[in-house]
Amino acid sequence: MMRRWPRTWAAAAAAMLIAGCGGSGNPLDNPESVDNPTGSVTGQKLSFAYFQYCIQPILIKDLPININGTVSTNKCASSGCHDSITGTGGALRLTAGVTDVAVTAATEADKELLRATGMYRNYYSSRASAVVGSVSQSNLLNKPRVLGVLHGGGLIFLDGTDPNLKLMEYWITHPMPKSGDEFSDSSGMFTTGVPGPTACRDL
Amino acid sequence: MNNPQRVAALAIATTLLGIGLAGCGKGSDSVTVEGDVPVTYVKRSTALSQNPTDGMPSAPGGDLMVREKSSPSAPEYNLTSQFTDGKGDVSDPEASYDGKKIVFAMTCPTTNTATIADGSNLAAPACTGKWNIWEYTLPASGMTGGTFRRITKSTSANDADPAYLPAGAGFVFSSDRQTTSKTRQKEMLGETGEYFALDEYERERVMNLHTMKDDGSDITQISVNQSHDRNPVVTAKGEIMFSRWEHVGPKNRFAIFTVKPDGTNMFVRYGALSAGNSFLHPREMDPKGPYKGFLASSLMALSRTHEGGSLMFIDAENYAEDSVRADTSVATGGNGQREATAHALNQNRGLSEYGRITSPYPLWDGTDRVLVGYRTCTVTVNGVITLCANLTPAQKASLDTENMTDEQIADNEVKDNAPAEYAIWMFDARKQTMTVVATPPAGYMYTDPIALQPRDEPNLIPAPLADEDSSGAADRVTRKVGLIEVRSVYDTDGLGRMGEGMLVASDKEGCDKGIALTTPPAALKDTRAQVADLVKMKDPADAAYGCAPARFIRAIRAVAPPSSGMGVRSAIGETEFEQQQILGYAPIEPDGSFKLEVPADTPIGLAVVDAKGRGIQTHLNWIQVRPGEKRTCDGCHSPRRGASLNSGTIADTKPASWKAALAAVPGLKLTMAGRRAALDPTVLNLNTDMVYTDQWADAANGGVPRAPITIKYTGNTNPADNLQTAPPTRGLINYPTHIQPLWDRVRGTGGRDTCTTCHSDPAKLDLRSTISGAGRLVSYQELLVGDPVIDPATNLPKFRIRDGVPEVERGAALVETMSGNAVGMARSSRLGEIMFGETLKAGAEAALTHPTPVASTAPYVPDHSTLLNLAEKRLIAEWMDLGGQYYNNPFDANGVRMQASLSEDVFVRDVQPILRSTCATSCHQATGADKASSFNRNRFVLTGSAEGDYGVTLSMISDACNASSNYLLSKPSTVPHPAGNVTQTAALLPAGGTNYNKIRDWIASGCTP
Repeated sequence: MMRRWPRTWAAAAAAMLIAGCGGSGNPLDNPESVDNPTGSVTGQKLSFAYFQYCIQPILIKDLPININGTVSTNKCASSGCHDSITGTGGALRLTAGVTDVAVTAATEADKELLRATGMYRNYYSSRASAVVGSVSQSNLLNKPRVLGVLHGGGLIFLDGTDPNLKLMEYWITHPMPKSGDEFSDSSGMFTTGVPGPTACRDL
Repeated sequence: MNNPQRVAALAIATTLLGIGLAGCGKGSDSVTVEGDVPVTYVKRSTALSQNPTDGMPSAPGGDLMVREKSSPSAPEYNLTSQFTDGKGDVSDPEASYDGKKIVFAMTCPTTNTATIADGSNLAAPACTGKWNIWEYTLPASGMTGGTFRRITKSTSANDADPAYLPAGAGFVFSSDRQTTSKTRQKEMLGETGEYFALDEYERERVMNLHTMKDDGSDITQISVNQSHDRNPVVTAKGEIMFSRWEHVGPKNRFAIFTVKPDGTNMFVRYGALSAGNSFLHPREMDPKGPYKGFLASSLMALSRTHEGGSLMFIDAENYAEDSVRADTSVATGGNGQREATAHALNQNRGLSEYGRITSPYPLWDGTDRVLVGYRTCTVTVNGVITLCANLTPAQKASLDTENMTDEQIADNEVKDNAPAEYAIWMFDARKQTMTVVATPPAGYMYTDPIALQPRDEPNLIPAPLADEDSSGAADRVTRKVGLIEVRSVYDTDGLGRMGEGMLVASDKEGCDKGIALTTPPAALKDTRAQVADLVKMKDPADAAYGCAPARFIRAIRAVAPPSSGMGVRSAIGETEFEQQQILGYAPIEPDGSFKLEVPADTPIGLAVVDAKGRGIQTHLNWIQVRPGEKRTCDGCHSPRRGASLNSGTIADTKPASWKAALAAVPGLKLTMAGRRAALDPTVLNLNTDMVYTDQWADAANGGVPRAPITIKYTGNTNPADNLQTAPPTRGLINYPTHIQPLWDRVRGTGGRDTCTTCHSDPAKLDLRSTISGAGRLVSYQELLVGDPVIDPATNLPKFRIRDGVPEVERGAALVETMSGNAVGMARSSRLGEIMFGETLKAGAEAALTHPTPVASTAPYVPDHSTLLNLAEKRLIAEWMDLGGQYYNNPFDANGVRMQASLSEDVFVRDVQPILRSTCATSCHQATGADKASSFNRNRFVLTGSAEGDYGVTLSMISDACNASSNYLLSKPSTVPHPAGNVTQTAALLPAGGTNYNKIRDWIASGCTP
């Protein structure tokens, strides 16, 4: 039987004879033809304002799903799931009864006050279930769709077209600038240019 | 084309490559080849003994190397010789995400004079004699002249396998510090103090995952496995992925796990049930390439392959295991793993004609290439190193040692013992080519290659906030407990570990099925054809409600063998399992749910128990929670991907036959256990006893309650059901203290029903409390060790060879300690069947070997199913389910004591060489879960690492003042040893011989009367 090793290795060596002298140009002298990564979004924060007005409502509302004709209602923050007191749903711990806060964070003191609110706890927990910039890796999206993961709460969104998902995708893929924090100006994330519950942009 | 041709072609290819590179210079030795990258790797001595089971082996001669390009002609630099001075060792480098720093582990002897800055001391001794974590920062240009930083500086523990956490958060690493568990273990036994745990081979201090800040502070243990957790890396998602040595009973392998950086959400990722034994060095492949979602891993035997095997590409996104699809959207007929190389490499011990691969590192530069440590296939023929390509077919066949004896292996001119001279190669998956990068000098290997390239920094998973409810989770942090909810134990995967196949007729009296079934909705993409019909099972008006067989959950904890403990092996006994402690019980609700608090930071097992207190299965891996953690599991060995069965409308269904108070509990998706806990939080507590009272059935609305259950040691409704002997305390069952008294207890008129009245015949069953030759009670040996199988033709015992070891074939023992297919062991034991008077899961062969005594009046034979009372049956069921250990508390056991004077240095100098030449050739090696031989029959596992061999040798010594009585000497000085070697005429270690005396003297040095 014909073996492939010798031929391929010899071919590889021959190929290197031809293309063996690459260029340079980056700090590690890699050739330009190599697709080095462009950097990541680690350290960037997700918008608190967008969370409050566009994501939090999804987490506390009744979400109907029709599975083969049987309709059930789900709510992330329910007591059997991610309710911060009674739920056992892992790291996503939500409080359904928190109230909206004024997202005014002109000073560090303002920010610390915001970070002490119940809304911020929900934000923080939800942010921890997301991979900034990556829809496909975010449990916040993969869990309710049961995409390659376990979900004790079962299937919540039948497919990827649900408008609630579009809002969550938008939030995750539009982090605040690297120089900013979660309270940075996010007016561009709202159709009116003013953060509010009825003006959430989506994908 | 045969092997010689292949090797020749390889030589040609390498030569061509060398010629090609030589023509591309830039006026120096450095050349640039398209796609080449700077690399770092380790140079280590081939004297090193590397096995998956060895957490931190070392041999003098190791160093950290860097090479300007992944090219054989590129300049190479030794970075660490200034510290090691040729006498240290280095392992496990990892690059920072910007490619400008290298973190690695290094050990060097305290006699070295090198210094390093340590706080205000700018010239502190660099070497501590232990493995510590170091970091090298590359200079602005070039590779040498950078700066070193020693991040840990332990003089008593070993730190290894470091990897950078994202966003400068510090490091994850593997360490035998056991920062939390060293005290937690004593605490759980109700004692103060600390001890270090040995792995489940009783060899080395366990290496578990830890994290620390960038400056080396705040070292935190985040995993609590009983055996090593190795090779952590950070995934793009921000989780830590690593190789976990799963060694519980018959399970003995390395699988790939993930955990969050704070130690929460520990879960298997892949490899627990796939072909092959040890998945090491797992890494994610390029997320921007065609292998997005794939892992690269090496796959090898548990020992004796120098940590080399095949290179696997694993489709972890679409497969939970090799043959387990994530869901129905994945086409049938595929596999989760495949070998990346065109030619198969050997994943087991023995000849691997196309070589072996170790420590793969996939590049993330769009080229589908993987840096690997690779060694060509070499063996020795009459002591001379030879390419495998030069072997004759007969010589190759002679290396298949699976069914050869030690003597045959020793006599073979061909031996698989050539030095493992790994070199660094670049494997191109797209082109199926291998090109050499760096070859070591003779006597060394190059492994652990890392590209010094920038790559996307992983996601940073924020540290969890403390819970807002101080009476809930925050309190759990203080109390060191976590919360676990299993939504339904009947949500079980294709193995059916909680399916109908685990049940027997007596489990479902009056029922067609124990577990009602239905078809899952197509939208859920469930790969199972049928699943438990929980809507029926949770309805007290439905017959399925009363048929549900799972009644209690039993939480147990692993009791780790202590390091430096002598006699541990003898104390554990004739079992596949290590010592265990019962933490308590909680009811399982009819929908299969339970919700309870369990101790944090300790290895936990959960077993579903039937109505009579017997485990339906055995939990064959350890789970953990961190303090305050909340975890939900879909089920009991449920599918690893997919929706929980007990969700959606199923969870929200509230049958009319429920009592109103429970039906009225507000909220969505509550399991029945969740509903009960909402009304009464005390049900979250584990109970000492099994007590169940139906809370659900409303008789006025057609509900039929399940019968109550009360099984206590003492305090049963009928005092005759109580233990009359000493009950276990803290869930620790010790055979001499708790089980033997059951056989001795006077029963019946004039003691005629006392067990030992009849069972005192050594030729049949002897349950007396005399001492056997093994040093344990005779009754224990009788119950745990099956009788030899007699060949009717010769009337002699039958023998067989397994892994080179001749062994006596034995019939079924009365007590099963293997837990094949994870079946509960009380239900798998004939002792259990006889004492309960039921046919359970022991099987026909065992029943033939140990038939149930037929009750009669003349001669008098009692009905054995009525001899033990309720509490006594519970006790023996618990003892068997845990594994039939002799002692479950190592600190209670006679003969176990912490040694203080048996020198490890003398062991390494005088004893280990004897053991390596006499015992470790084929018999006493780690075999792994894929091998048929019994771990229990061969617990003395030698791999060559000093600490591990020392640790396991101590376990074979019970009495330093009577050296010849210890297993270590008594076994090999006896003929035959192994017991099945009927042709043996001379002892392996004759009493009075030079080697015997060396070992004897070493043991005797520990005698401190």
